[in-house]
Amino acid sequence: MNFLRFPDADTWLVAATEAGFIVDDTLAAYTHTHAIDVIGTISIGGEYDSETGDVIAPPVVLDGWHVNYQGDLPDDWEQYVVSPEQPVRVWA
Amino acid sequence: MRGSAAFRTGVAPGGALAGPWVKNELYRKARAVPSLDLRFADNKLLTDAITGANLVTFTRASSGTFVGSDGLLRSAVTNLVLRSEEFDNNTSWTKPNSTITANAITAPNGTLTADKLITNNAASSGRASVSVTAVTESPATLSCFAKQGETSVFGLFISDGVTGRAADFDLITGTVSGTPTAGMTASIEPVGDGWYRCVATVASPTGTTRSLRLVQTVVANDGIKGLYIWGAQFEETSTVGEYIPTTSAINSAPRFDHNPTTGESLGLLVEDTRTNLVRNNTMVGAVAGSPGTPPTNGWVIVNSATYTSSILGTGIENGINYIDIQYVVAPGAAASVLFYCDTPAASASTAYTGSYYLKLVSGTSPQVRFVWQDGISTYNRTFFNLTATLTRYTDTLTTAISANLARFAVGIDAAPSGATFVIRVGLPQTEQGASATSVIFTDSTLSGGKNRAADVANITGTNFGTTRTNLVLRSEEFDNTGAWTRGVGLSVTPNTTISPIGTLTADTITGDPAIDINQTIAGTIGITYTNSVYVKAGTATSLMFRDDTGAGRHIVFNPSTGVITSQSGTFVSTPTSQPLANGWYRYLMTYVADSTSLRSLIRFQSAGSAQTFIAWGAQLETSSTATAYIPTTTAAVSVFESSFYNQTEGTVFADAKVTTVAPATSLTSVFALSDGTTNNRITVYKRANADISTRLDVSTSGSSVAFINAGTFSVSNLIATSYRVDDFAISLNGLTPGTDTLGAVPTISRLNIGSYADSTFPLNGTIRRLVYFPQRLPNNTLQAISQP
Repeated sequence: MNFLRFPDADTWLVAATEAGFIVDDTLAAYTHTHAIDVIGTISIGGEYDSETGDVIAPPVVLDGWHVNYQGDLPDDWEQYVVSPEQPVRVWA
Repeated sequence: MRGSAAFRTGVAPGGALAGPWVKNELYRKARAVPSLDLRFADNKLLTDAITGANLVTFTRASSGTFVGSDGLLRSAVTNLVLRSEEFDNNTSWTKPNSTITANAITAPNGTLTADKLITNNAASSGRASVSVTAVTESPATLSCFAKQGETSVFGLFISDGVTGRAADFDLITGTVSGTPTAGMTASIEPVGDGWYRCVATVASPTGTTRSLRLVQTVVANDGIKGLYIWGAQFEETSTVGEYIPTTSAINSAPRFDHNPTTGESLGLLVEDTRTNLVRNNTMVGAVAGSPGTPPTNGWVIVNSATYTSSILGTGIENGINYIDIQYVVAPGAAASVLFYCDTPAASASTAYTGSYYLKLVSGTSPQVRFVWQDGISTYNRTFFNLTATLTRYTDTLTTAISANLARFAVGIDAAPSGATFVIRVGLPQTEQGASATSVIFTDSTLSGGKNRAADVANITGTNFGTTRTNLVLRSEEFDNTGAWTRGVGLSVTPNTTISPIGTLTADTITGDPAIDINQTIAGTIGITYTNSVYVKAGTATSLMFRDDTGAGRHIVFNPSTGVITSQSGTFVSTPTSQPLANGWYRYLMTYVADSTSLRSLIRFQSAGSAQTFIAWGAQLETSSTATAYIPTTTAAVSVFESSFYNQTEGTVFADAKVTTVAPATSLTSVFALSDGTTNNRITVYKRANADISTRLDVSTSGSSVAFINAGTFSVSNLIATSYRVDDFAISLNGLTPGTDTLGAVPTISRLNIGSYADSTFPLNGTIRRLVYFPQRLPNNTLQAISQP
């Protein structure tokens, strides 16, 4: 599995379109040869009132647009591969 | 196409002359035999009940859960090794001290996909190695099919980064050789044709690093000796499961689901991708006590002056991880939440569905309700009572979540007289989407939850059918000067001889040495073509059959004996001649085009003027083998061939179930016949519309042909739908069929099971049975077979 971090959502959309994963505005996220889990922005932390759920301290949004990917990497996607020490999401 | 006849007869069902449809209730109702019958619920297999063939390709790039026939929640077998049959792939497999010969021998599944593992000249055992990231502390089972070659001792090795453990297997005696390393167990099982499935398990590895090796343990040092391997599999379980092949992504077995209460077999589960945002829904870290320690990371179990809680313990019931919590509620206590696990980082303006397994273990059931909090607002849902059965309760908040939190809690009504009760809480799940899907196990380490990949099930490619095209024009009319070019002095006398199929359509061709008759056909460089022609001897003793003008590729043959006496140029396979009755031979050449100008050309090679030969059935096709001859006249002719599908007319019967009908905002598909796009489709789905009707939707070449609403989509749906030019119909659960009498039939190349034409909009339910009849059944028959 590859953890990918694109600079922003637009870069991801362009890259996915060029790779043929997005056709007619539809993302082919799951096929017999690849799997794509678009996480988007990642927020960590945040503090909430345990009784009411009210926000005490909002979560922090990390840089980038995050995507988990399985399959052969398209050309030029190596630049987006990251190796998080503690991934926030993986496949089951 | 098989089974194209309607099999209709006037004999009563079961009579001596009855049609084959009497054997099955559906067939009897249809008074026809299908060409495809996928009985997922009955057989719990993907195979076609008509042929026994497995035409369905299924993948899911993650694990997934389902309810087994015993009522237990189970995880599907998942293979975490990539390229499980491609050890020559250098991205997935490293080969220290070894080389791999790909596709060297027939594999246990009958395909030529097994590789040979050869120790190179290094003074060490050769191996194919791969690394896998595992869940902490989970059991590790590595398996691989192996067969003896020149060597016969095969080894499996698992390292967790701290300890490496190995087991050897004797592929002659079919036994575990010696004793595996402490902490590892091993087994070996024969699977036929000299193949064994070798299995090694480490029950308690440490860490998350798994280095795996498939080892040819005999140090041969000659770069030749080796053994054969196929089908490697790594599972995070203590027992080996059915083999699941992988390519570029991990793969998991199809799930054949069951009703957890009745045990009813529900068929193939097809679900969309979902992420369980609840962290640690398996209750890791909980410690019994008063109040005890809640599960690690994010869990809150309310313990206050009026709600005194105690954790009684954790366990597993029917495969469902649970925690038992006792509450003592003081008289006059106000309404409150009881427990929750925060699911932060939710998206704004999005529907979420939450679910809990809940059970009243003791005491009197309180009035409980789900409570959603989004960091700004609180949404109190409808009260309900718990029962003594561990039941999954779900709730969808269609009101927009407006902030970063999607807390899904269980709350309680005010208790004027107080209460004491024990509640069992299992496997909470919060997922983005308008309905609950199967449980996704999570652990305490992932703040963003775990994702279950979508199920992808379809019949496509050659499993669906193939289209063959003869590119040669006037393939039996060598006298047609518009299509065929003649050399100087060459003449053609049409229809002089009986052709290979018994028609008087073969032509006699007369000419002098080095004179030819030919037809030029546009081709594509790099594409593989097969050129063929039927020839019967006349007076000529040597002829040339030539194709590609770029390379001058040709064969020279004796038309009397069929012997190819010489050849020139590069071919994909050796050119051949196939003998037929009455002196006919079919000559075949397969090659990769290096020119855009291809030819079917026959030339006189032997000496002597006015020689003759007889020709018939020229064919040029984009194929690596010659296929059955297709006659042409003014244009190239394509023929679609499928083991089950009829491009002209047909009927699909589907038996589909969902746990809950998706809301009006969601389109969910039962099946789709398509070309992989939405331009050509025959698809049945639940509309994303307020009337949630079941719709037959046909589009041909991008133009809508039919939209027929058949009635309200429900939990159980028996659907029969037919297509033929200007004749479309659909019946749902025995209702009067809706029809459309105008439109062309699209050209189809795949069947998506539980998804839309472009593989989107999954059913999020189960397909009990999917049946295809290669004829357009009458409307009253559609009504009869869809009758519940």
